[in-house]
Amino acid sequence: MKKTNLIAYTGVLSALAIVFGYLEQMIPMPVAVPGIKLGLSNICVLIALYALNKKCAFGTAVIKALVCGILFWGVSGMLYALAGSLLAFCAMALGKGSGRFGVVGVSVLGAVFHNVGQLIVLRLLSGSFSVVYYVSVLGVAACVTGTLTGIVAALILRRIKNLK
Amino acid sequence: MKKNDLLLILLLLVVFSAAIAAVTLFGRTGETVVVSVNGNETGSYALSEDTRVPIGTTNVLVIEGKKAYMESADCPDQICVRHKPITKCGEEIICLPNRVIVRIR
Repeated sequence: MKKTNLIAYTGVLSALAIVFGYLEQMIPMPVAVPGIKLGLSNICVLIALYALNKKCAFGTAVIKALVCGILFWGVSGMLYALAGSLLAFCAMALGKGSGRFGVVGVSVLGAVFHNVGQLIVLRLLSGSFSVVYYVSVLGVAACVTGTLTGIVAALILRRIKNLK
Repeated sequence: MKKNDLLLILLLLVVFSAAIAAVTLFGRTGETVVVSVNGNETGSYALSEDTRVPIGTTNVLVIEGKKAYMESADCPDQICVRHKPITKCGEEIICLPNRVIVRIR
Protein backbone atom coordinates (compact mmCIF):
# COMPACT_ATOMS: atom_id res chain seq x y z
CA MET A 1 0.00 0.00 0.00
CA LYS A 2 1.25 3.48 -0.81
CA LYS A 3 2.33 5.77 1.98
CA THR A 4 -0.40 8.28 1.17
CA ASN A 5 -3.04 5.55 1.47
CA LEU A 6 -1.68 4.52 4.84
CA ILE A 7 -1.78 8.09 6.09
CA ALA A 8 -5.33 8.56 4.82
CA TYR A 9 -6.54 5.33 6.40
CA THR A 10 -4.85 6.21 9.68
CA GLY A 11 -6.68 9.54 9.63
CA VAL A 12 -10.03 7.89 8.91
CA LEU A 13 -9.54 5.29 11.65
CA SER A 14 -8.43 7.94 14.15
CA ALA A 15 -11.51 10.02 13.38
CA LEU A 16 -13.69 6.95 13.83
CA ALA A 17 -11.94 6.17 17.11
CA ILE A 18 -12.71 9.67 18.39
CA VAL A 19 -16.37 9.29 17.44
CA PHE A 20 -16.48 5.94 19.27
CA GLY A 21 -14.90 7.64 22.27
CA TYR A 22 -17.70 10.19 22.19
CA LEU A 23 -20.46 7.60 21.80
CA GLU A 24 -18.99 5.65 24.67
CA GLN A 25 -19.61 8.54 27.03
CA MET A 26 -23.34 8.07 26.49
CA ILE A 27 -23.38 4.39 27.36
CA PRO A 28 -23.87 4.00 31.10
CA MET A 29 -21.83 1.25 32.73
CA PRO A 30 -23.65 -1.06 35.12
CA VAL A 31 -20.78 -1.08 37.62
CA ALA A 32 -19.73 1.95 39.60
CA VAL A 33 -15.97 1.67 39.35
CA PRO A 34 -13.95 4.43 37.74
CA GLY A 35 -12.02 3.35 34.68
CA ILE A 36 -14.48 0.79 33.35
CA LYS A 37 -15.60 1.47 29.82
CA LEU A 38 -16.37 -0.46 26.68
CA GLY A 39 -13.27 0.54 24.78
CA LEU A 40 -15.02 0.73 21.44
CA SER A 41 -12.31 2.96 20.03
CA ASN A 42 -9.84 0.13 20.49
CA ILE A 43 -11.60 -1.55 17.57
CA CYS A 44 -10.05 1.11 15.34
CA VAL A 45 -6.58 0.53 16.73
CA LEU A 46 -7.02 -3.21 16.20
CA ILE A 47 -8.09 -2.67 12.61
CA ALA A 48 -5.14 -0.36 12.00
CA LEU A 49 -2.83 -2.98 13.50
CA TYR A 50 -4.14 -5.83 11.38
CA ALA A 51 -5.22 -4.20 8.12
CA LEU A 52 -2.50 -1.51 7.94
CA ASN A 53 0.68 -1.76 10.01
CA LYS A 54 2.18 -1.10 13.44
CA LYS A 55 3.06 2.52 12.72
CA CYS A 56 -0.50 3.33 11.71
CA ALA A 57 -1.88 1.57 14.77
CA PHE A 58 0.49 3.58 16.94
CA GLY A 59 -0.65 6.79 15.28
CA THR A 60 -4.32 5.91 15.77
CA ALA A 61 -3.75 5.01 19.42
CA VAL A 62 -1.92 8.25 20.20
CA ILE A 63 -4.29 10.55 18.29
CA LYS A 64 -7.36 8.95 19.85
CA ALA A 65 -5.93 9.23 23.36
CA LEU A 66 -4.84 12.86 22.93
CA VAL A 67 -8.04 14.11 21.32
CA CYS A 68 -10.52 12.07 23.38
CA GLY A 69 -8.61 12.84 26.57
CA ILE A 70 -8.58 16.60 25.98
CA LEU A 71 -12.18 16.66 24.74
CA PHE A 72 -13.86 14.58 27.42
CA TRP A 73 -11.73 14.40 30.54
CA GLY A 74 -9.37 17.40 30.59
CA VAL A 75 -5.60 17.32 30.90
CA SER A 76 -5.29 14.79 33.74
CA GLY A 77 -7.82 12.61 31.92
CA MET A 78 -5.63 12.83 28.86
CA LEU A 79 -2.70 11.47 30.88
CA TYR A 80 -4.77 8.43 31.84
CA ALA A 81 -5.91 7.92 28.27
CA LEU A 82 -2.43 8.33 26.86
CA ALA A 83 -0.75 5.99 29.31
CA GLY A 84 -3.48 3.42 28.80
CA SER A 85 -3.38 3.71 25.03
CA LEU A 86 0.39 3.45 24.74
CA LEU A 87 0.66 0.42 26.99
CA ALA A 88 -2.30 -1.21 25.27
CA PHE A 89 -0.65 -0.60 21.90
CA CYS A 90 2.62 -2.16 23.06
CA ALA A 91 0.79 -5.18 24.45
CA MET A 92 -1.24 -5.62 21.27
CA ALA A 93 1.76 -5.19 18.98
CA LEU A 94 3.70 -7.78 20.99
CA GLY A 95 0.69 -10.08 21.22
CA LYS A 96 0.17 -9.96 17.48
CA GLY A 97 3.91 -10.27 16.83
CA SER A 98 4.13 -13.43 18.93
CA GLY A 99 1.72 -15.09 16.51
CA ARG A 100 0.12 -17.04 19.32
CA PHE A 101 -3.10 -15.08 19.59
CA GLY A 102 -5.97 -14.23 17.31
CA VAL A 103 -7.69 -10.85 17.10
CA VAL A 104 -9.78 -11.53 20.21
CA GLY A 105 -6.80 -12.49 22.34
CA VAL A 106 -4.86 -9.44 21.20
CA SER A 107 -7.88 -7.29 21.99
CA VAL A 108 -8.12 -8.69 25.52
CA LEU A 109 -4.39 -8.06 26.02
CA GLY A 110 -4.94 -4.48 24.89
CA ALA A 111 -7.89 -3.99 27.23
CA VAL A 112 -6.06 -5.37 30.26
CA PHE A 113 -2.93 -3.36 29.62
CA HIS A 114 -4.97 -0.22 28.97
CA ASN A 115 -6.09 -0.53 32.57
CA VAL A 116 -2.56 -1.22 33.77
CA GLY A 117 -1.40 1.99 32.10
CA GLN A 118 -4.20 3.96 33.71
CA LEU A 119 -3.42 2.48 37.12
CA ILE A 120 0.23 3.49 36.80
CA VAL A 121 -0.89 7.09 36.21
CA LEU A 122 -3.38 6.85 39.07
CA ARG A 123 -0.57 5.60 41.27
CA LEU A 124 1.63 8.55 40.23
CA LEU A 125 -1.11 11.18 40.56
CA SER A 126 -3.06 10.02 43.58
CA GLY A 127 -0.63 7.97 45.59
CA SER A 128 -1.45 4.73 47.26
CA PHE A 129 -4.35 2.44 46.49
CA SER A 130 -4.84 -1.25 47.07
CA VAL A 131 -3.48 -2.58 43.83
CA VAL A 132 -4.70 -6.16 44.05
CA TYR A 133 -8.36 -5.37 44.45
CA TYR A 134 -8.53 -2.57 41.93
CA VAL A 135 -6.47 -4.32 39.28
CA SER A 136 -8.69 -7.38 39.61
CA VAL A 137 -11.98 -5.51 39.32
CA LEU A 138 -10.73 -3.66 36.27
CA GLY A 139 -9.16 -6.86 34.96
CA VAL A 140 -12.42 -8.79 34.94
CA ALA A 141 -14.12 -5.89 33.21
CA ALA A 142 -11.28 -5.72 30.68
CA CYS A 143 -11.65 -9.42 29.87
CA VAL A 144 -15.34 -8.96 29.10
CA THR A 145 -15.06 -5.71 27.13
CA GLY A 146 -11.86 -6.83 25.40
CA THR A 147 -13.53 -10.03 24.20
CA LEU A 148 -16.56 -8.13 22.92
CA THR A 149 -14.58 -5.48 21.05
CA GLY A 150 -12.21 -8.19 19.79
CA ILE A 151 -15.10 -10.14 18.29
CA VAL A 152 -16.42 -7.00 16.62
CA ALA A 153 -12.96 -6.18 15.25
CA ALA A 154 -12.55 -9.74 13.95
CA LEU A 155 -15.91 -9.54 12.19
CA ILE A 156 -14.98 -6.23 10.57
CA LEU A 157 -11.50 -7.40 9.55
CA ARG A 158 -12.97 -10.40 7.75
CA ARG A 159 -15.06 -8.04 5.63
CA ILE A 160 -12.47 -5.39 4.76
CA LYS A 161 -9.84 -7.63 3.22
CA ASN A 162 -9.87 -5.45 0.12
CA LEU A 163 -8.29 -2.67 2.18
CA LYS A 164 -5.01 -4.47 1.65
CA MET B 1 -11.07 -17.20 17.78
CA LYS B 2 -7.95 -19.21 18.41
CA LYS B 3 -7.64 -21.72 21.22
CA ASN B 4 -4.93 -19.60 22.81
CA ASP B 5 -7.34 -16.66 22.96
CA LEU B 6 -9.82 -18.68 25.00
CA LEU B 7 -7.06 -19.91 27.29
CA LEU B 8 -5.79 -16.36 27.79
CA ILE B 9 -9.26 -15.04 28.61
CA LEU B 10 -10.04 -17.90 30.98
CA LEU B 11 -6.69 -17.61 32.72
CA LEU B 12 -7.07 -13.86 33.23
CA LEU B 13 -10.67 -14.25 34.42
CA VAL B 14 -9.73 -16.96 36.92
CA VAL B 15 -6.78 -15.01 38.32
CA PHE B 16 -8.70 -11.74 38.66
CA SER B 17 -11.85 -13.38 40.05
CA ALA B 18 -9.80 -15.28 42.60
CA ALA B 19 -8.22 -12.04 43.76
CA ILE B 20 -11.60 -10.32 44.08
CA ALA B 21 -13.08 -13.32 45.86
CA ALA B 22 -10.14 -13.38 48.24
CA VAL B 23 -10.71 -9.75 49.20
CA THR B 24 -14.50 -9.88 49.47
CA LEU B 25 -14.96 -13.34 51.00
CA PHE B 26 -11.96 -13.77 53.22
CA GLY B 27 -11.11 -10.13 53.82
CA ARG B 28 -11.36 -9.02 57.39
CA THR B 29 -13.80 -6.28 58.15
CA GLY B 30 -11.63 -3.23 58.47
CA GLU B 31 -11.39 -0.88 61.39
CA THR B 32 -10.29 2.43 59.98
CA VAL B 33 -11.40 4.50 57.06
CA VAL B 34 -8.50 6.36 55.49
CA VAL B 35 -9.11 9.35 53.28
CA SER B 36 -6.50 10.71 50.94
CA VAL B 37 -6.66 13.61 48.54
CA ASN B 38 -4.05 14.13 45.82
CA GLY B 39 -1.98 11.35 47.34
CA ASN B 40 -1.80 12.96 50.76
CA GLU B 41 -3.54 11.29 53.65
CA THR B 42 -5.94 13.86 55.07
CA GLY B 43 -7.50 11.85 57.87
CA SER B 44 -8.53 8.50 59.24
CA TYR B 45 -11.74 7.64 61.03
CA ALA B 46 -12.98 4.65 63.02
CA LEU B 47 -15.40 2.51 61.04
CA SER B 48 -17.40 1.82 64.20
CA GLU B 49 -18.31 5.45 64.82
CA ASP B 50 -21.08 6.95 62.74
CA THR B 51 -19.91 10.25 61.27
CA ARG B 52 -20.31 12.53 58.33
CA VAL B 53 -16.99 13.76 56.98
CA PRO B 54 -16.68 16.57 54.44
CA ILE B 55 -13.63 15.97 52.24
CA GLY B 56 -12.39 19.38 51.19
CA THR B 57 -15.29 21.20 49.59
CA THR B 58 -15.89 18.58 46.97
CA ASN B 59 -17.00 15.31 48.55
CA VAL B 60 -18.93 14.16 51.60
CA LEU B 61 -18.16 10.78 53.14
CA VAL B 62 -20.56 9.05 55.51
CA ILE B 63 -19.67 6.30 57.95
CA GLU B 64 -22.76 4.53 59.17
CA GLY B 65 -23.34 1.11 60.70
CA LYS B 66 -19.74 -0.06 60.03
CA LYS B 67 -20.02 0.90 56.38
CA ALA B 68 -18.50 3.82 54.54
CA TYR B 69 -19.96 5.42 51.46
CA MET B 70 -19.73 8.66 49.53
CA GLU B 71 -22.83 10.72 50.11
CA SER B 72 -22.16 13.44 47.58
CA ALA B 73 -19.54 14.69 45.17
CA ASP B 74 -19.45 17.65 42.84
CA CYS B 75 -17.92 15.69 39.98
CA PRO B 76 -19.86 15.08 36.77
CA ASP B 77 -19.64 11.28 36.67
CA GLN B 78 -20.91 10.56 40.23
CA ILE B 79 -19.23 7.16 40.08
CA CYS B 80 -18.04 7.37 43.68
CA VAL B 81 -21.56 8.18 44.89
CA ARG B 82 -22.97 5.15 43.08
CA HIS B 83 -20.24 2.90 44.47
CA LYS B 84 -21.49 0.31 46.95
CA PRO B 85 -20.67 0.94 50.63
CA ILE B 86 -17.30 -0.51 51.62
CA THR B 87 -16.47 -2.52 54.75
CA LYS B 88 -13.59 -4.90 54.06
CA CYS B 89 -9.86 -4.26 54.30
CA GLY B 90 -8.51 -3.18 50.93
CA GLU B 91 -11.83 -2.09 49.48
CA GLU B 92 -11.94 1.48 48.31
CA ILE B 93 -14.00 4.20 46.75
CA ILE B 94 -12.18 6.35 44.24
CA CYS B 95 -13.28 9.71 42.94
CA LEU B 96 -11.00 10.26 39.97
CA PRO B 97 -12.05 13.83 39.07
CA ASN B 98 -11.38 15.10 42.60
CA ARG B 99 -8.51 12.68 43.21
CA VAL B 100 -10.08 11.42 46.40
CA ILE B 101 -9.42 7.88 47.59
CA VAL B 102 -11.36 6.43 50.54
CA ARG B 103 -9.92 3.18 51.73
CA ILE B 104 -10.57 0.68 54.50
CA ARG B 105 -7.62 -0.46 56.52
